[in-house]
Amino acid sequence: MPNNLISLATQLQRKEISSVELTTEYLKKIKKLNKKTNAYVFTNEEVSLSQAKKADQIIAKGAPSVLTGIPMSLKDSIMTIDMPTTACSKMLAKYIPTYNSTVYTKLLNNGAVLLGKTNMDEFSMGSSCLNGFFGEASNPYDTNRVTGGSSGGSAASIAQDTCVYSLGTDAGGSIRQPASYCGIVGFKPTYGAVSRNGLIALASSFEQIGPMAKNVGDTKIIFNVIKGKDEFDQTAFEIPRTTRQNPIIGIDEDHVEKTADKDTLAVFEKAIKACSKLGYKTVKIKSKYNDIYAKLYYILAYAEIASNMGRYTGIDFGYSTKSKYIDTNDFIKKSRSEAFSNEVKTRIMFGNHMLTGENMEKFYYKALKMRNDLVEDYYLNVFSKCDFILSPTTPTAAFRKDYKHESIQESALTNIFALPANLIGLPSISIPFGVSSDNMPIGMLLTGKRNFDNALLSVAENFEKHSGYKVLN
Amino acid sequence: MSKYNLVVGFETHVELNTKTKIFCSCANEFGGEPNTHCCPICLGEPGTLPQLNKEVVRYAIKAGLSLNCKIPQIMSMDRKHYFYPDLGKSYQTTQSARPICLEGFLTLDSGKKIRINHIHIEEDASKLIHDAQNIYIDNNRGSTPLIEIVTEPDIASVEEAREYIEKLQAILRHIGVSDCKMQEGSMRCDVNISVNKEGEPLGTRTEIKNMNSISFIEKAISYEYDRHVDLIESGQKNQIIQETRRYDEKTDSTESMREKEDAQDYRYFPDPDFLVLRLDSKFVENIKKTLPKLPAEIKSELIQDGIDEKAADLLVKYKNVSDYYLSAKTFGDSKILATYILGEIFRFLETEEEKEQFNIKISANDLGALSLLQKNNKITAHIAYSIIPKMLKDGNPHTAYLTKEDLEGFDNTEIDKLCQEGIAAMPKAVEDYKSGKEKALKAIVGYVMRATKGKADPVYTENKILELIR
Repeated sequence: MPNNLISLATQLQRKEISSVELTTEYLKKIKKLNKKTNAYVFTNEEVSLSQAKKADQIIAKGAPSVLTGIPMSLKDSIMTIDMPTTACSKMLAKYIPTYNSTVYTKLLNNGAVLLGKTNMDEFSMGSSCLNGFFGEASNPYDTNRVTGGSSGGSAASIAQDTCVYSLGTDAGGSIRQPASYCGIVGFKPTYGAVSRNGLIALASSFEQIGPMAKNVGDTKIIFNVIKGKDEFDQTAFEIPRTTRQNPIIGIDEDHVEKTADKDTLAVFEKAIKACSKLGYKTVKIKSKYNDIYAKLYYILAYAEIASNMGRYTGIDFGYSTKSKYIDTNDFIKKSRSEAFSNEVKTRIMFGNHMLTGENMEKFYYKALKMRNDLVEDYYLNVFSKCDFILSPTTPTAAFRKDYKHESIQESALTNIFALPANLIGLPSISIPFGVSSDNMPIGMLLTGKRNFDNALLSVAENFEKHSGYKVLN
Repeated sequence: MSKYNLVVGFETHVELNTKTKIFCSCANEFGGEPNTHCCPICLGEPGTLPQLNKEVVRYAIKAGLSLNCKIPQIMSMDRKHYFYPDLGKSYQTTQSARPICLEGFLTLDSGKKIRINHIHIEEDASKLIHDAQNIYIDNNRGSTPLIEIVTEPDIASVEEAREYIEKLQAILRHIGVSDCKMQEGSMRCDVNISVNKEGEPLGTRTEIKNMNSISFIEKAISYEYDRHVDLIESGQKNQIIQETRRYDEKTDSTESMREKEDAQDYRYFPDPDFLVLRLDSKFVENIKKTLPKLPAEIKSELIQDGIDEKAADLLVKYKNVSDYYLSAKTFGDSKILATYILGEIFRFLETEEEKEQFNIKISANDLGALSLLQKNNKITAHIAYSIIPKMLKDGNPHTAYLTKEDLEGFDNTEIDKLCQEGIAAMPKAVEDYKSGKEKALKAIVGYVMRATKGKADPVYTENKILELIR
């Protein structure tokens, strides 16, 4: 893919191009292409160019990092003082961040240039990027199709080359699914590998910030900059360095065949062949929990969502009702009712329902226990046989915007392969590997053990070499 | 005596005096300009995460160890949900499933143990200020660290209730985790009250929330006890309902808060922003090592030293007094020092607050030295008592007030002479003593003391008289 991170960094450092020139070029491109995809919801030329100028000075001094001067985008749920951060919700439409997220601070310390904030499903709730307050995002390869979500804007911004890389967030496939739909690489690190400080919370025990880029090599570089423990997030820690020679790849063929469509299965077959080309042994694996990932996710993640969304009362920040209210409760009720979309309200109600009265024991604690059982099962029965799991990222390529999922179960299916990584906290990466019969990108998913992020990225890099995916135009 | 037992349990919130708040680095200070001690984290801004203050964990464990609690190997944090303007995140981070301390007790003077069910750590809510139209929020108090100490319903009288709270205050002040000022809200009690007949199951309990004075607690318990008993006696037992009540000091009565408190579902669940915390046994052992002597231990040592129980109680009641006393004791005489502190010095420090602070101008060293002069009969108690108020006022050392004459004392040949004079002057006393009235000797000692204006050594004098009349 042209304009990848390493080639641009080389050009910048050889002073063949300046960051200001590069940034200007990208800003022009955004102006031209954003109408098509609505990938960006906020840009600020002044901010971007001043960061680019600073980067050029660092390069002139001869002390750049690989990221210095490289233009990137960030999902709109990642706090940036320089630009609005709204999680694409009416609730935060006028919110001005008071602090920078840890990941943004780290990128800035490396001389990164922020081009803008990318579209997403409101508060990351969705898998389509159709649910944001600032309008739908469209897949650059077919604007009648979704980008996927919730980090759809980030995926589209990379796919149409309106930035070099982006950061998304992934609580249930939200990085990997849009990456697969848009033909880019998307990586969800081990839970805790990257600080969540400054990420507008969706489901705290499920989500991670992760890099989205044009190839695995770029992804690796970005990950190494943003990872690490953080005084502002006590769940963040330093992952160990890992490698895996002669890795064994686990495949749950039955599960994939039952779920994926024909086009996806064809690409999957190629991925399995790639294993033998790479000399990787493959083994059959089976988890007895395949049918309950989505249920566990709905119960546990939505409970966390309901709790995390409580702070939006309109009192201290965010949208406040303009209509008359009787008392504080009425004020809170009206502010929330007017600012949240139905998707958000549904999840809050569902989550609170799971935590209310006897449901707490019946659903929440039962699911919590099963989540632990699932972790145990994976380590005892799956990772005892293999080092990495290979599956498609999603059962199909990007669906049409007007496609109506028949049920909540069916819509959960788009993340069926992605969810275990969130439930267990595993590193997982989607790599573009082929196309569907109608030329839409299809990604393959590699998932590793906790903390084996480096090893996973190395294996993914090797896989990528055998990818049948060519950049579409 | 009534045939109804009083059954009382306490839930006591204690504000810890750590330097910073429980989840961020904002100053943990009482008062201050509204909204000057806050940051995105304690305001609950989107994207912020808590960082548990290790000092809070240490302080809570200190409190637990001092109250004979078990410290479990792991603890976890939970969220308690409710919407109210004093709670920015709309949930309070607290402990429900796995609190930091379990199963302790506090021993009353009678030897009775008040069992502690558990102690947990949590964040305080912000302060709301109401006026006619508006509610104002002061977030300085938001996310300051609290421990909540929950007893079993073991308290059976108003006196025990007072003793429990006073002992609790003394302990927590001694270990330095809180100033326990009820008037400033750094200690607040929720009191659960029920009555029952001996041998019968517990009655329905009512809870009086947010009590901030011991005397109000006493009054409220008495009022509730009478109310419960009256309702039962008049056949209206069903009118005692499990509810939250407020004590009104103006009318000295309690009234229902008419809130559906118990119907409220707080939807407690594990806070995903915290890892389950392992309380390493070494960590706990190290905290144990830093614990000072507790009031009960100091008290029993004082009693062994010959201090009477009441005096010992007063000396350990206030942390600063106790510290001062123990320090002065290393330079002087323990009994004499107790009389100085509980007498002249406490007379000078009128309020509880002043005693608590014990900010006096006499160094422990100097007061100790003064007590030694008295002990060695260089000066009399009378002289010591007369100069302590001056020392308190001016802050000069005792040497500044003692005249040469004060310190001279009397030489023994002179005292021997006065003893002989006394014996000669009081033949009746000598006779009485010989016939077994030992006290009669005191009259002759008194004669010598008067003649020397109190400067004679009473022990020497008594021995001399005995020697002479034998």
